[in-house]
Amino acid sequence: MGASRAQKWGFGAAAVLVFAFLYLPLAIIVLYAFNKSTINAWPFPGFSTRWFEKLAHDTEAKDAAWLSVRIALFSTAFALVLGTALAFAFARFRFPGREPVNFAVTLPIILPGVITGVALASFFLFTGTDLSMRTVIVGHTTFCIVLVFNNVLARLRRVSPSLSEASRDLGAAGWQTFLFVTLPTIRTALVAGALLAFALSFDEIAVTFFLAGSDTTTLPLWILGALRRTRDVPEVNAVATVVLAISLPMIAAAAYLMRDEGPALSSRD
Amino acid sequence: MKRFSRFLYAHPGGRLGLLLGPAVLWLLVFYLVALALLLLTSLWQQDVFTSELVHKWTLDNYEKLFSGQGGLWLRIFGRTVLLAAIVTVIDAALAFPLAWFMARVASPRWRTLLFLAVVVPLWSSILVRIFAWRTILGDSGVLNSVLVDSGLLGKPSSAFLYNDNAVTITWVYVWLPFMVLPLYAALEKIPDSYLEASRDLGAGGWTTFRRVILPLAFPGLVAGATFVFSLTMGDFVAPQLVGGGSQVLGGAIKDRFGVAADYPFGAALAMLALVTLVGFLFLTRRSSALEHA
Amino acid sequence: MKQLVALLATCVAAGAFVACGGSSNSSDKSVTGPDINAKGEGKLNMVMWEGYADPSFVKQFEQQTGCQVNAVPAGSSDEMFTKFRAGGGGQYDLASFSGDASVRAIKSGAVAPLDTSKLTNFSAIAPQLQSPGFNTENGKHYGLSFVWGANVLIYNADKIKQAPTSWTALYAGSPYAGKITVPDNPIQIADPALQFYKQQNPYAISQQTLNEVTGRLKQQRPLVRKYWVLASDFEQLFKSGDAVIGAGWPLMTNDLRKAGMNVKEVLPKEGVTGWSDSWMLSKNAKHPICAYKYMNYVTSPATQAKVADVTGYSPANTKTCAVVGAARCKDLHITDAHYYDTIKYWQTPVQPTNYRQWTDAWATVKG
Repeated sequence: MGASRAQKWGFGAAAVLVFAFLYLPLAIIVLYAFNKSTINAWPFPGFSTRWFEKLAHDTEAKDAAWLSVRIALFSTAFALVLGTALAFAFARFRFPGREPVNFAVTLPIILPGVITGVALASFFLFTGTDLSMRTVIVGHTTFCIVLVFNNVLARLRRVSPSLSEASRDLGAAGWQTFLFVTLPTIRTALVAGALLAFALSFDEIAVTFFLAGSDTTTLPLWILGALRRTRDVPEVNAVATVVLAISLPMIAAAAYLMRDEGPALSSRD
Repeated sequence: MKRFSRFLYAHPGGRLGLLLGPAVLWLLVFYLVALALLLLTSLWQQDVFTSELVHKWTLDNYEKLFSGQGGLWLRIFGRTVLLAAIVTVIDAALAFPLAWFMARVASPRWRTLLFLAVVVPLWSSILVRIFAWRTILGDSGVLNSVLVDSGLLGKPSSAFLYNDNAVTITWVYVWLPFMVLPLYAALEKIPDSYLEASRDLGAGGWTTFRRVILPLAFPGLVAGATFVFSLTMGDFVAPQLVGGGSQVLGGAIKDRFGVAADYPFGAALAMLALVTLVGFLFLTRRSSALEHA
Repeated sequence: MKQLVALLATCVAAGAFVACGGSSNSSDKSVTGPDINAKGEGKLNMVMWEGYADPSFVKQFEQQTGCQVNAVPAGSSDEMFTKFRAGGGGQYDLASFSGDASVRAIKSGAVAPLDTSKLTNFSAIAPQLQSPGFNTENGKHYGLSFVWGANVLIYNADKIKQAPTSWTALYAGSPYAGKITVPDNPIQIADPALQFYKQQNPYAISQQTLNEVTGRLKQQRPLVRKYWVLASDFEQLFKSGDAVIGAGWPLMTNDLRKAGMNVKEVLPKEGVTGWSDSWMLSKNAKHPICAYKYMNYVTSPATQAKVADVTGYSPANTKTCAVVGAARCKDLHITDAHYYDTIKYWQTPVQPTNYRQWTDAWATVKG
């Protein structure tokens, strides 16, 4: 390697410090989810699990979480279809306008959500469309497409089209080729894109803020509302803790699925 | 079904259309047209009393943006850009050692774990993570308690919360993973042989860093900077939860579509943000980092 | 009817909804509300001030009527107005507009006139609140007065031993500099206009007065710990000790006392602004029966007492006195019309300076 031991330890220490910085607020959140009082004061007032009990009976919070899941599922599904199709178009064909289309599909994730949010809100105001779960899904799908597109395209570029050609030569119908030959090779890219899309959609606040109707209270919007009601603030910490706890195994599963995803995580010659 | 399949096989144009069409149509209608409408809105007026949009053309909104109220809006824009730049630089400084450690010092077994450890915070609500900084930075918060108890401060300081400092710290915190990940991806790809060669040719650590590592890591830096800069320019949550009175661009846009309704002016502000960020994108276009984001 | 449809069609094409609002109002001769004894639609959407749909009284309403309440709070009148009119205007059935948004709602044709014969508590509403200018126009009632209150000076009695008597405690020269909180709301401009610039109608101020008030507020800015947007902002600032004095609503005094804090509120000598809130029904309300049921429920004496318990605001229904007792009745000034008149209620500034100018001035203050 060539790097001295001192250097390695130095970088190790720096990494630890940065990780500490990264995890300090998370520790605070989890700690204060067990706060006895409603005031987030330091030193820690005392332990209690009452917020988790309250959460278990809080239908509003649970409805909000479920709505967020549904919106994320729909948005991810649409993004998968649109993004994958687009990736295939880019990988297998030559056509004029590649650059502008590439730019247009990346734009929604590069530009901050507030711009997408107010643009679509103006659009729906103009068309007189009521704001609802559908308008939120439209907003989320728009910035999720690129997540699937990038992942699948990167993968397709490494996969030779000769496999699918061979499949067709052997007499397989188009859909058979796609299902049994092409799909398995891009499976991990699809999973990576879908996970990213789901995660971004689930916790999204900026776009959702402008596109949610009166009864489209997603989890982030519920949290924003709960922060307004002093009595509910500690419960918010409980919610965040629960979401974190649920997503940890999901992330682990994702890591396991992506373990053969060579270039993404480790490649060096 | 078989006929359709054969038709598609024989007509690549049809296949292309089917693959390309839906996504392009979606983006056209639900994004580009929406942005165009936003532009139009910025050229219209809004009745002060009824909040109705009046479709009469005017450049008043842009006049107000660039010269109104003693340059207030340009100041707000400038403040946002400055804060975004500061946050980007701090994040790059924090991300680099971590990304380096992950990419080149840690063993491959640990690499996956560390990668996930960086991603995990993104899975807890961003709102709650921002709110947690109130507990850390407040008068009776963690930071003040530590400083007072250790004797560094006489009494708790109000300088950490409800001002631009708090917003900056919070932004540095929430966007950090977005800087670490692309930087990690870029550093990861640098072949060991380059570093060995550089050493063999007699370059010291700093020179190797400056002339070999930095240029190769640059695409990752650019990708990270693009995300951090863009996210900062549009955020309105952190300023509302931990900020003071001074406004930033994202908050100003949001206000104009809600609590201080003035849709045309809000659209003009949004256009300003859009043009700035697209300009930033074009400037960094040279680097192909975005394709690997 | 055909003419109305043709007019509406033209309006849709031209996008000039302002014209439509005016003309469709004039075709109503009398107002007929829905059958309030019929079964409710099962749902009710409302945008309102915090505390107006508290579980302590909403749960019983939901059980009694089967109308599931979806209550969304707003932080300012502008926000409430914008939310109410978003999309096609049918998002919310009810809104609790203060006087500064109610007239805008009427003028923009977003609200429907109410059938007072279906409002069971209408006759018991305090006289000055039955047909006030901010919710009644041309004899038609567009709103049902609900509660009212003042923007008061709240302070932490443990940290501030001597009760402040003047609003100057929040401005330059205050001994509490750096521990002050005031609302992040352009309508706040009316407060110094009234209190320091002797504007008898603080909502109709000249550009010069607006400039002077803006200057005063700019001087105040360095003293403000944080401008509160949400009621919980205010309460958390007090609880964490970041603020010890501020301009707020009796709701905050109530909540903080319930949390065990020793806070007191005063009405300083320079005068106070306030708000008088009415329930208004959307023209495109999807659940009008539930809406009327809620309006009747929440203006009944028993529920008004509960609302007062939650918010500390003054109920509009004079019969509430029988429920809360003479002492509390006096405290809340329920039947004190004279006291009611001392408060300068929120109105939409129109002339000489309009609300947009106020909003811009406020943006200048915050910087």
